[in-house]
Parts: sequence; C-alpha cells; structure tokens
Amino acid sequence: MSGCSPETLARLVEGRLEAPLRDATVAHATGCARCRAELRRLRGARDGFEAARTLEAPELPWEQMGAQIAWQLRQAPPTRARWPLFVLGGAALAAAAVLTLWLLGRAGTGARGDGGELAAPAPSAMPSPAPLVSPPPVRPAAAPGQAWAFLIEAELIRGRAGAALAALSAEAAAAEPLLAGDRLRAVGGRVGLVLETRTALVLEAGTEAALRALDAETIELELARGRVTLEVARRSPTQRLSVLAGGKRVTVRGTRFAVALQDNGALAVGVGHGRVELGLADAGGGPVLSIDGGSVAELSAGEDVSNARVRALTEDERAELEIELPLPGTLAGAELPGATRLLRVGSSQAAVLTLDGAPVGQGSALVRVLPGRHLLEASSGAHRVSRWIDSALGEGISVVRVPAPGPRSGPSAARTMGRPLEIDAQVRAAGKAIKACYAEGLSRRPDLDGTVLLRVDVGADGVLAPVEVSSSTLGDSGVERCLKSVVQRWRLPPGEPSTVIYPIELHQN
Amino acid sequence: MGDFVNDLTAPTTKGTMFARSAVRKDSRSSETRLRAIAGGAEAPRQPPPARTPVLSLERERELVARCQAGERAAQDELYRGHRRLVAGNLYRVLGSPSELEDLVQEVFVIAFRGIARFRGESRLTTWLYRIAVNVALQRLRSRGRRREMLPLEEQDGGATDDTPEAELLRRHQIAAVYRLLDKLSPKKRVVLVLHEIEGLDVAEIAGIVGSPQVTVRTRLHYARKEFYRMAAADPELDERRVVRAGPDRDGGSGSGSGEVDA
Repeated sequence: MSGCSPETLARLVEGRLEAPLRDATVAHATGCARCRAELRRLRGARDGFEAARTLEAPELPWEQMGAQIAWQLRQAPPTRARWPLFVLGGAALAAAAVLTLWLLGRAGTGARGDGGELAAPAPSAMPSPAPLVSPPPVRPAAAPGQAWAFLIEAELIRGRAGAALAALSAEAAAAEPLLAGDRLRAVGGRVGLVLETRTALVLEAGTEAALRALDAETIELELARGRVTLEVARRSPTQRLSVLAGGKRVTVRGTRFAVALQDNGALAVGVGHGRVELGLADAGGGPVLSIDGGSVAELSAGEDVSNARVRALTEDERAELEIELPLPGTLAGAELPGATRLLRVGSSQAAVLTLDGAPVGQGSALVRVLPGRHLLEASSGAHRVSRWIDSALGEGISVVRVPAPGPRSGPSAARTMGRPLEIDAQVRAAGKAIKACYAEGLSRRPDLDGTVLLRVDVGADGVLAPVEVSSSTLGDSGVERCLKSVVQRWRLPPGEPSTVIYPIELHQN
Repeated sequence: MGDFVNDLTAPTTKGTMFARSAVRKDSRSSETRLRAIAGGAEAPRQPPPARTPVLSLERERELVARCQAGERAAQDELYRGHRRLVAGNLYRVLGSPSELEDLVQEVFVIAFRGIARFRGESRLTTWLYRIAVNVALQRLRSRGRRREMLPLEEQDGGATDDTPEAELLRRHQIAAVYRLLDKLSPKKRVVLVLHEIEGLDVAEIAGIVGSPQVTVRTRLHYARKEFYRMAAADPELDERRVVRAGPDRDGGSGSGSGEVDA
C-alpha cells in the first residue's frame, strides 16, 4: 500500500500529512506490523535528528588553536599548513613529564648554513662542557653548531617554518640544535633552554614562540602567546636579543626580563635587572621606551608604546623573574616534590657538583633540594671541596657558594677557576669596607643582623654590571646600598662572563 | 589590566570575553522526544541550535572593520566569540569530533584571510557558518566512503537530566542517524543536516551552499527520501530494540537481528 511508504510514514511522523491521507495511513498502520515497525524506526530517526540538535562540540584546546590560527595567518596564504599534532591527549601530556638536562657537545668549528641559521661559536667560547647529569640521555652525534643546552621539564613541541610542528620527546628535542625558524611550544610544563652564550630562556607552560633569528649577532624570539623569561648573558657585546610580542619589540643585552603576552593582546614587560628597550616590532620607527631594571611596563592590545604604564616591580614580581633551571630529580633517586628549595650553586665550569652523592650539574646551577641537611660537593679531577647545607621549608631561594677546587694560583688556573673565587678574594680584600657599611648601620639600628645576597654580573672584560641586592634579610636599605657601592668598585680579571650571587652575612659577633 | 604577576601567572583561558553560552545547550528532558505521535499529531520539536548573532550589528561591524584593518586583538575577539559556534556547527554536520580542532582552525584562517571581502551583506555568524559548512563539505568529500562513527560515550549533547535508559536511547539514536547520514553523498548529507538538525529553511541553505533554491529543494527531497528509506529499514532506530538490547557498538545497521515487531 502506498500509504505505508517510508516517505509517507516520515511525513506522518513529522506531522506533515494532510488529514485524509493521514487517517488512511494510521488506519493501515494499525493493522500492519511492518508499518508499525517502520514508524517506530522513523520516530527513532526523527528523535535522533532532534537529539543531534543538542550536540555540542567537545571541549577543545581553544587557546592553543587560537595561537595556531595566528601562526597560520602569518604563513604565506597558499600554504595550507595544518597543525594536526596539536591534539594531545592527557596521556601524552603525562608521558611528557620528562626531566632531562644535558649540554650538547659544543663543536667549535663549522658554521651551519647561511644567514639566520646557527653560526659558529665566537672564538671566546666557553670550555667544552661534558654531560652534566647521570645517567645522560642518548647523546646525539656531534654536529657543527650544536652548542645548545636543553633543560626540559615538559614536552617541547618544535617545528620549522612552513612545516607541521612535531611533538618531540625530550631526547629527540634536545638531539637537534635550535635553528632560526624553529617554533617552540611548551606542553604540560615549563621548558628551559640554555643557549651556548649562557643566555637562558624559560617558556612557561603553554607558551608558544618562534625563533626568528639565531646567530652570533642576533637572537630574535617571537612570542605568540604565554610568557617567556630570559636571562641574557653578557657574553657577547655584539649579540642582540629581541623578543617580539603583540607587534612590539623588546631589545635587550645583558639583562633579565620577562615578556608576557596575554590572549587579549595585552603586553607586560618586566625587567629584573639591566635595561630593555620597547618599541615597534618593525625596527626603525615609532617611539622607544627604555625600561630599567626593577620596572614593569604594561600595554593594552594595540596601544602605543608611548602610552605604556611603567611602575616598579614588587618583590613577588622580582621573584617571578628569577630564572629557575630545574635539574632532574636525582636526589636519593626520588622525584622532587613541590615543596622543595632552590639552591643556586656556583663553581668553576670544570667542577662537577653533587648533592648527597648524586650529580646535580656542573659549574653554576640552581638545584632543588628537599628540606634537611645535605652534603654539597664540587669536584674536579682529584680535587674536591664539600660543605654541609641546611635547607628548611619556607626559606625561598637560598644561595650556596661552592669554592671551586683545584690550584689556587697561576694564570691558567685563574681562567678555569671561574668568578666565584675571584669574587671571594675581592670580598676578603674588601672586608674593611664591608664592616664599615655594617658599622654605620649598627649605629642607627643596634639590632641589625642578617644576610644580604648580592647579584654580581661580571662581563668578559671583568667589568661589573650594576650590582643588585638579590635578596636580603637585613631590612636596611642604607647598608644594602653601601654594600652594593663597595662591590661595584671591584674590577675582576678578564675571563668568563658570569653571574654570581654572593651572600654577605652580617652578624655582630 | 591587572598586576603584573597576576597577568603573568593567570591561566590563559581567563578573561574570555564571551560567555560559554555562545552555543546554546538545551537540556530538555528526552520525554518530549520520546513522546508517541499516534495519529500524526506533531510533537514539540527541539529548537534548532542557536545561530543568533553573538554581537549586536553595530559591534559586529566595528569588530569586522578592526579585523579588516589587521588588528590582531580584534581577530582574537572574533575568534573567542564565535569559536564554539563554529565548532558546534562542524560537529553536528560531521557527527564526529575527529579533526574538529583542525577544521575549526581552518574555518578561522579562511575567515581572517577573506575578511577583507566581507562586506556585511550577511551577518558575521551567517558568513562564518557558510565557511564552516564548506569546510565540512570538503572534509566529507575527502573522507569518501570511510565511516567515522560517533563515539557515543564521548559525545556531549547535554540532556544530562535524562534517565540512563533515555540517555542510552538518545545516544543510540544519534549514532544511528549519523551512520545513515554517512551513507548519503556529501551534498545530500549537508542539506539534510542543515535542514533537519540545524533547522535551516531552503532559502537559508541555498545561501550557505551557494546553490539555487530549486536545486536545494530537489536535493533535500532526494536526501530525505533516501534517508528515510534507510531509516525505515534500520532496526537500530527502533526504540524497543535499543532499550532491550542496549547499544550495538559494532554498528550492524540493517542486520535485522534485533528486529522487534509490535
């Protein structure tokens, strides 16, 4: 019977059948089991359509997708670049919580490619470092220009311009040198990269950036979203580092700063020490704002540089600007819990540092330690020095200075010993002046007591950048100022540029 | 802008300018959907997914102008305001979350690259909708005959106040519908989805797919005919079988093994 065709039944189900045909169809269906079955199925289909109206797309990584759209828009339009690997499941993220650190062997010769790509290291390159951490990951074959240290506490996603990003394991990511054109994304945590010049950058979780230029002259990082904190070494007087974000360019040399680009386009540039210049991304035009250490400049999306709001950093913000380069949790073979303490350890580049017998790094390092008493050692060949350190919760960042082992005289030794010893010698020489600062403070406040951590950045020429108080429990700005002026007068022999945090303890006894 | 530390440390998802309700989530009881329709009386229909403009016309024009001027913040605002709308549309047309992320990105990349040509002759939402449908159509064509099942356990269609049985039935019916849609040609599928699920009329569909109304009407007619013939023969859609047998994850559409007669 024609009244039982699926089309007719569908119209019945939808209520679109006119009265005579509808009545006839209903009458027929009442006595027709097949029609009734088909009616039920068509009702099911109609209900399925209606239920589908309520379908909502699953939750997607909107922010990442937004960043990818921005990326793609910057590519040439004909390139239908896709970013399929950005679909990362929770399991992948969990698996990505790999902690790896080592320095890739630095090859002293052989420029890589031409403009924009990694050039040969400067002649004054630091001594070739050995792997830092035991057990070291698979070490890549030495390749010209591979001079970068990777410090990865999350998954690093990399890709070259015009190519899809690839999720790399920590090992794979570190096995290749960074190149101009690399795009970087930190997934599931922070990613720290230490460049051969000792310039360190930390990408906060979710941060996406592109390395637009990377050579002996220029490092140019374009921030698409998130926050990158940089500590720029004063290694090369000619190397210029820029961060591009939100249409602005932050240009720096020998400083520590952070650039944060909000999803709404708002830009914040905080400067720990040194000085940065904020201008338009296209160099050569527009106003340039100079931001001094201890300040933060804030701009809304698209706002002119000249309208930037500049204010002083708070103490918390200063702490935010601390570059932490977490080392693997090798302490007692256990993962380090969150409630740990950070130790900045300075020693000569040749000295291997161990904490409780476990290697934690080489040269200068920032180490997370558990609360308690730990034996910190620095050893180089047959020489070894050690000291006990006490770590308690809630102390924040503590600084441990480890005198480098080895011969203490001779020009060759001076080159390998590193700055801490030289500064140590300077402190001893300046003992009288330091005591005078303290005495002046005591005359005003008889109960004055505490430790001042001075941050000393020494250039290759031995000249100090403006000395800063890294932290202080003294609570007396007069004495702190006095100490800074004493240290500022120091002149060190030319050598490895470095940053030393030096503690000066002031007690009445 | 808040203080520096907060700005630096705040989750990047904060400050979303538009509420999540850009795509309406209707969680009406499935009772209405399960009502018998004896005698052909029309049951209340589930309203179509929201396609109402996110912004006022004035604000929309201003936003488009800023995007046309290449202002990145405006692009960001447009994306934030419409991303769920676009994703929801793509999801309902395709019936599968696979590659949704890529496709949403593709829609917005096309939109931003072509926004200079957007003259405001239609609403922004309609224009985005058009792009999304075309992206989905391309996807369907490239998908070919390959089946992509809607993962029932993952799909989130609201209606969380349903009883477990009703929810089971509902999910099963959605999956069965998309299994049948997968058998239609991409063109037929798109017009049928736009009509039956998105709730668009022939004129609206014609504007979106860029075909004459008469073509759309014909295509819709044949799509419906083909679909309902398949549906009438598909025991998967029979609510009695579904409730008794539970979902058949293997599909097995048309096997007839679960046929239950009255």
